[in-house]
Amino acid sequence: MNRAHVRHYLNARYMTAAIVFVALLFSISLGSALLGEMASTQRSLSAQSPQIEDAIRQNDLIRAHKMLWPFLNGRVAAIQIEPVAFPSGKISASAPEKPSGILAHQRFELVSNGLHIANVAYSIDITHTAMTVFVDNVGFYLSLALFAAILMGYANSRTASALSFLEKRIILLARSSHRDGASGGQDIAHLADQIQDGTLSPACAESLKQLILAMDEHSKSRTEFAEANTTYEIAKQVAHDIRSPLSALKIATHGLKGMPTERVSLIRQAADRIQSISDDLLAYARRRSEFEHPAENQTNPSPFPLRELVRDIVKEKQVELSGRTNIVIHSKFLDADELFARVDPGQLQRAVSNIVNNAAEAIHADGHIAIELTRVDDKAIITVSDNGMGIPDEIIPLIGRRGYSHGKCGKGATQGNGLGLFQAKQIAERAGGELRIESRIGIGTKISLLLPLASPSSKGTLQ
Amino acid sequence: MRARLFAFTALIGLSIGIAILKSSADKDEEWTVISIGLPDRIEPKSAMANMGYYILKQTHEPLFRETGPGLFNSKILLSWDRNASNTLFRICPALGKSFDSGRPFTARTLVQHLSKSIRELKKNAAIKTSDDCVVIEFEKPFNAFFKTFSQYEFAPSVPSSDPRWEIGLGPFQVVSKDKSSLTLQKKEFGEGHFNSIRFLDYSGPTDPILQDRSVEDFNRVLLKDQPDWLKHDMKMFDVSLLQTVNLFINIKDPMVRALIFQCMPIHEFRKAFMNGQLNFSDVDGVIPVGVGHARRKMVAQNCKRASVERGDESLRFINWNTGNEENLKRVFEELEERTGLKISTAAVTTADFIRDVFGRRPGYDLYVVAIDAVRPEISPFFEPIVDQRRRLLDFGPILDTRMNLLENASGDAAADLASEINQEILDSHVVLPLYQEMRTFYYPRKMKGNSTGRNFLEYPEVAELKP
Repeated sequence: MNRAHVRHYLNARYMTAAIVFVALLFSISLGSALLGEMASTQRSLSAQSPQIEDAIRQNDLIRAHKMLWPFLNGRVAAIQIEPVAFPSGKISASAPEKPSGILAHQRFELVSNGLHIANVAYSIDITHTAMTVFVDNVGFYLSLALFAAILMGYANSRTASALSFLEKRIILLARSSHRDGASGGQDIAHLADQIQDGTLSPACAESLKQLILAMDEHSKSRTEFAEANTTYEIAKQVAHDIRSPLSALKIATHGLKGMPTERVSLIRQAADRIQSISDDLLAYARRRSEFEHPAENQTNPSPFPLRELVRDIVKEKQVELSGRTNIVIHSKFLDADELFARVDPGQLQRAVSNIVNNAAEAIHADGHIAIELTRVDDKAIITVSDNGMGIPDEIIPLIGRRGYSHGKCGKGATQGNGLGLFQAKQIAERAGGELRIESRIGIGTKISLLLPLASPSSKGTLQ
Repeated sequence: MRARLFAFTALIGLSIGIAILKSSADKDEEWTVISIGLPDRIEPKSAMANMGYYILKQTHEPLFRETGPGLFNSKILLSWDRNASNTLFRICPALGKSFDSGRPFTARTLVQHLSKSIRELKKNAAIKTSDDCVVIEFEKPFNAFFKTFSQYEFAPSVPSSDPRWEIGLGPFQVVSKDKSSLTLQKKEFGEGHFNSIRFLDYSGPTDPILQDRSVEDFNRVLLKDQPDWLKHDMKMFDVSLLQTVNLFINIKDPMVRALIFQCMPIHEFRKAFMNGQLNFSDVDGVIPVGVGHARRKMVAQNCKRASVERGDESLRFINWNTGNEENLKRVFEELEERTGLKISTAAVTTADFIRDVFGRRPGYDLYVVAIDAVRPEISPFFEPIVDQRRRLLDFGPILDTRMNLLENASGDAAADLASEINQEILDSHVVLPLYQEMRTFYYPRKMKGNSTGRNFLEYPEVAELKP
């Protein structure tokens, strides 16, 4: 507990509250003492009423006067008896010392065995009573103050401990947020579990645990956002920079003579695709919030036939990977009908192309890549399967997250840009479908894009 | 799991049930008293004798109770007031009080009761009812009104179907009676209280009932007959009783009275009469220490050897104690040697003695009487000697006028007047004070509701006690 904590918890407000409490307690004690004194005086006088009656009856005023002396105990400052049943003068007695302050005057009828013998008036010295009450209770008040101080000190020390604990955890949290996501998350989870160490109450510890987890989540989001931002900036720059050489390349293809037409066409198609990618990246960069808020400003694409799209990809990939003679690419169309889905054909083509590229990269020796289009219930499924090296089980849940890449060699998450599968997943999910990954180490990987079927005549609507 | 829980719950319930039953069974709701000389008839007049007073404290309730010196309260009156000259009193019965189920305590029954009492007191008064209250207007001031009607002798009482007892406004009523036992039952049954009281007269030190450990009250038993185990089994209360034990000299001839008074060896006589009891607390008059100006010293005696000619006629000492005959004989021989007076001993049972001493006292020349009061007042100690209506002897001064003065006096004036009366009694030689009774009272350890000062130990109010 540092000085700031002490100052905070022993501030004027708390001191005022303590003083008000003691004052209230004192007032109650004083009120009780005054009421008790009144009751006691009346009770004692009533108990002596036969003797007082006897003295008055015999007009023995000295004896009557003597009877009043014991009542003048300091708190009762004066007492007067005015006989009503007998012809006798008033009997008065006052304390030898002058009353020190405010007086409370009381009156009552003195009845002796059924006979109203006199009216009694007496005065209670409130100041003296207050002093007596204070002196009588000073030990109690001091004890109370000491107890309150100990209690406050104890409570403050607990609060200070809790604050210190929280402070340390937040520092740890800040440090852990600079590390990579997975290990950082594990640290935080471990940290949150450690809270219940007896320093804090269970309820406080649980609140703190929830706070730490929420802060961790927030920190992760910020990190991811920053990473994505960087990626977009790079993509934007790349897309911008690539446009000029690409234009030159496209122009140059018009001058190619002697090259087989099929090859020239392939080069032009590849150049067009690079152009399309570049355009998309620029558009992506302009509409970055689309990824953060995909529902916003998103139109519903028109139904698009999938068979032709898959055929084009197969062809493209067969040419593209023709240099890798160890890889055989083949396709299967298991459904006789044309299948339609509401997807952006360019995006879908890039997504499938990326998946096929990933499959090719996973194959080191001889292998094959199968691209299938099939229908299950109301879903069209585009499946890319390979017999490559496979993906470890613990990595599979992470694939598809933004910024995470399994990489060419499967050795970590830093070698790819992580956009391929992330975009594929986004595309599938945006279309109301999903991305499924099945893989076994040494056997191969199967990635399926499940897309809801659409009827060819239906029109796009705003979602 | 559920079956095990049920079994456990049942076991707990059974244990609690057994504990409650055991607790109920352990509580004896009958208060048993070993008594000595039950009165023939239970009526307000019985309050003059110890056992009568004990019984009346359970069965009757006086109009007033003295809660402090001269300060009165009531359990059966709703309100009361009076005029300054004490000639006019207005008292209102509390609602809901009744003698028995058919006889409520009303203004009408109160008028009957007051009329009878005022006749006995030989007062002239007009009594009438007014708004459920009773107004009594005395011809002369009646300053002792509250004191008089706080005595059990003037407690409201109505006849029962059995001539042997009357019914009062106390919490108990008599349900059966024979010569040596009496049973009272509570009018309103109370859970956890004593609901019946049984008085059993014991016949002597060998009576097997003295060994009955279920008895609650052995305090009426003579000291010499009290079983030793009381000291271990019961809770002890050391009480200096407001009681003096006196030799009543009920002899017409003042010379003879004087001789006995001056020459009776007090030490030897009290030791002989009480069967070898060694420790006695001296007292210099008929009022005990703690009341008036009484002092803890023996009465001054001045025995001048003299001889009174009475022929063979002997005086009769009425002996209600037992086992003391030989010792008494020796003391009386010594007295005869000093005075020439022959004294014979006549043994009577305690019950017979109580009956006779409050009656005609046939041949009662000398007898021992313990005088006591249930509150620190003076007049009850003189009444058995000088009050014509209440005295337990046939000779000596009658001091009704002074007794009236005493009843109306208080403080030092009353104490001074009491000293004068006491001296006059001693001078008339009708009573020789022997000692003041100091006793240890024994009550069951577990009993609740009894405490010195609040519930007078000598005569507990059983309705307030809990087993």
